[in-house]
Amino acid sequence: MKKRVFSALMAAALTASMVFGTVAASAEEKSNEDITIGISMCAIESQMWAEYQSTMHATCDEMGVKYTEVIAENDTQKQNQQIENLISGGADAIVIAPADGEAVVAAIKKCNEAGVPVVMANRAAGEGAEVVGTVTSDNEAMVQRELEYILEKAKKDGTKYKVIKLVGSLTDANAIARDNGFNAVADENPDVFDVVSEVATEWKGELALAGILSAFEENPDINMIFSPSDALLPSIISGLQQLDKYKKVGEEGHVTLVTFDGAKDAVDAIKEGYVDVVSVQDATNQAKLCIEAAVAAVKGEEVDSMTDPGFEVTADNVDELGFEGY
Amino acid sequence: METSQARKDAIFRKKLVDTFCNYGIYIIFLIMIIYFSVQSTGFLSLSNAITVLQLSSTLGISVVGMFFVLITGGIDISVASNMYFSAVVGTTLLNNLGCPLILCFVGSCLSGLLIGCINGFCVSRLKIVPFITTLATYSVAKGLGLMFTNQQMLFLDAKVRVFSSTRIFGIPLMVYIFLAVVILGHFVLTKTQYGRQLFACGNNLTGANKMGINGPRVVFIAYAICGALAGLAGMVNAARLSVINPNFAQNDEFTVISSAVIGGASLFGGKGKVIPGAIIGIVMVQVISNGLTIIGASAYIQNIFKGLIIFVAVMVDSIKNNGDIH
Repeated sequence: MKKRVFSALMAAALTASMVFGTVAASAEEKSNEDITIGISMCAIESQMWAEYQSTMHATCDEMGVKYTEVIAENDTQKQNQQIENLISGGADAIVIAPADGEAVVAAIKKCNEAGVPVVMANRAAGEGAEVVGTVTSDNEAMVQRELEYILEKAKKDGTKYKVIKLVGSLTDANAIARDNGFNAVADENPDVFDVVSEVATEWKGELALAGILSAFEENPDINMIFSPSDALLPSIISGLQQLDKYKKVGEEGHVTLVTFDGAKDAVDAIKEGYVDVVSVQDATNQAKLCIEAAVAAVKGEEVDSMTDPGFEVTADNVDELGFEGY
Repeated sequence: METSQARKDAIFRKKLVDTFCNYGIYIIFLIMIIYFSVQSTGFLSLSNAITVLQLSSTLGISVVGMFFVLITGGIDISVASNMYFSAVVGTTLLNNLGCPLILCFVGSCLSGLLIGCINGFCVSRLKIVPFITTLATYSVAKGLGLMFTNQQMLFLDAKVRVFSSTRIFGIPLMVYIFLAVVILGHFVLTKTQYGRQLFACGNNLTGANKMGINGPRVVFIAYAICGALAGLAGMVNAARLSVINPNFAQNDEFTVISSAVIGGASLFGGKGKVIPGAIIGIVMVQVISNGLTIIGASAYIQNIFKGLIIFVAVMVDSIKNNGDIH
């Protein structure tokens, strides 16, 4: 009898300790210092991504969470493997900046199976996988707005544009969205925008430069270049300098430059008068939101997706905004 | 009667295949030029010819090096990473140590030479398969480059513009460098003892060794040359772009290898003429991009065209090697 009572007491004690222990452990799990965020970056190929990366690191440090980062150099297969490694490495949540939103779905499914919440950074995931939140830019609308800014000016002074349109990687949803944004305005206004060349850059400066030099051969009177990322801007400038066409706004032979991202060199070029407009995606805020969302998801809190509306920097408002670029 | 007719048919078929193999690429090249000339006014002009040569120069330098390796029957897929790493080395000399431009080019070349020597040593002395060896150096060189740059964009000092904008008799400086490398490569392959030894090793390494040729030494030098030229190509490329992105030269190994094959180097070794092969190969690839950009073709079409041309070139190489279509 004594033995039975003792066993029962032991069992009760054991159960209680397990229950309370679990509670204590889960409470412990929820404290920031025990959270590890996996960060899977596509590549740091532009200043925008550099800003994204450094802000994510800083936010993790501020919040007191640990992080493990992997960079895929835009190799989709590598990124999938790296995400699996992050799962097996014990990441509590993973922030993914995918090289290709569709190709990363397989890895996100693995995260779903392992119960690891996923937050998408700057590029949305394809169909078929569950993510707790997505932080993106409103790419299409942003490009539309900056092109409408050019359109408005063109209508005032009667300028007609012969345009080189640079296109990013054709597998990048953001590149496609920006292209769509451009087409939406340009197709509606063929009397203002005449796209004489379309250059597939794969986000590479070499291809942008080659495309620009080639396009000017056929149409030396090209007077506008649309770049879907500031990462291509140095190559564009190098090309225009080689052609002796890098002129300030208002100077004869100025080539109107419309770009995207908000890098420091683009904003500086606006201040100096070479670039006309840049549509800025707030990489700093986006990166911060991604980490905050990932930590919230680990703690079981509700996470909302966010679309960054962005804003335009032009010669007219650059001083007033005080935005220095990143 | 029927047999003789069948024989005539067979001879005719063989002649047709032979003609296609020997002149097919040139015929396609000619058709392309005619097509682009009809479609646009700017394509067939001296100025565009210079632009195409300028665009061909950077990778063209590396194509010459690739000829040496392909003649040995090997392959070097580390050239693109080599270009990236060596360009980073050259740029560091330029930006951080304030070295004169010429020294940066020498530094970049030496850095490429080092990678080439490692490849050569592993292939010729340790007998590791070229593909695996150069895959390893590809990865190491890329990793080192990313580590040195902290995976971020590296802007070149403004004095580099002297290089990209210098023209002699209206022709950019980099074209002269390319042509000098081509002439030197042609001279080494056709007029020197080393050149003859290289072809002997490429055709039959065992036989060459028996004849008293130091096969491993010959192969080692071929990889060293390829590495050094890739290093030079990297710095030329960086200098004309004035920036090095983390995706700098990414996938360019395919362009370099396919240009060499289009230009008549055989993947099976023992064949290749730098003049006109190296020029035709890279110029043809650039003409596709240049022509399609000039006529305003969609961004998607360029990759399809390039793929088709490479397919034809490799098919021709395969038929030549096997003697017939299988």
